[in-house]
Amino acid sequence: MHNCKKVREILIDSMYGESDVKDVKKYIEECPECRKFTEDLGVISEKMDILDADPPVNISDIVNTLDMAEKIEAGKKLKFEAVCFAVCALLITAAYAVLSIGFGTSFVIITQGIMFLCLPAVLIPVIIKRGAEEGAR
Amino acid sequence: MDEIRTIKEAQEGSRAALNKLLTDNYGILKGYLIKITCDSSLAQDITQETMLRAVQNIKRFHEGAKFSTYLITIATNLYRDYIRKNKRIESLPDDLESGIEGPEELSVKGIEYREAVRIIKALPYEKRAVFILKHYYGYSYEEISEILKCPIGTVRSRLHYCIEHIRNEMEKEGFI
Repeated sequence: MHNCKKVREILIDSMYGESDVKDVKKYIEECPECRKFTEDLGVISEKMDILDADPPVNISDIVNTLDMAEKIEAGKKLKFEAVCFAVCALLITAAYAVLSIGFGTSFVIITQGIMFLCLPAVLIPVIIKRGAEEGAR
Repeated sequence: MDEIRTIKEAQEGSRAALNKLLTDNYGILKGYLIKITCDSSLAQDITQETMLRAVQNIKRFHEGAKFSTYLITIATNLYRDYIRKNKRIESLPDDLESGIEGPEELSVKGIEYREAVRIIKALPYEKRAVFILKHYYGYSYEEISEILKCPIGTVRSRLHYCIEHIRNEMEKEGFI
């Protein structure tokens, strides 16, 4: 047993492929108001389709967005690296100062030497990694 | 399959893959925003903001969803935020891009076009979103409920409300 309200809901659902009208087909044939509603749905769909066109692709919009995203990402990375550098520098300086007081001048000279020798081992991989990242972009 | 591969490449940092994804879905995104905002310049702003957010959060994109759905979800959230901030739900300007050219088309199709815009503008935002997603983009009730974060029953009843509203308006204007 159906009523018009329920049938109309089924008709709307079926127009959008969410339901099947076969259960209410007989009811529609017998109810002039529901038959009119079915016809109206066709007109509604046709009239509202006038707004269906999507705009063409604007390449410059996309390029600008990608450029902006890269800029923001680079800015974030730079900020993170600056903070990391500041924290590391602070920690190393503090540790170095404490150890220098404890071990004296010879410790300072030896560690300075080791640091200068190790510097390329740290910098070269960082430069290579940066180069690879630039290449990937 | 092709889109899944492109998304994976984009998540690995490929600019070309991001470019392809945005190019493929630009029309849907901007078309949706033009229809929902009824304002070309606002639609343009939200389109750019949506694409930017999508690119920045591409690594959080879950496999299985369509990229267009991802963009539409972001765009819907941005427009919802815009409405909340600006409190201008119903005062939408009459500024939809029509694509109708020539005096003959303007006289016949132009009237129908303006009428369709007027009808769609009169709908509340949440209901308008449901109608646009269903009628123009063919999303299922389930997908719409995920995009708008509301139950399927609500999506269904909102769509029914929209159709009844459109029917009443068209009846008043003598279209049906």
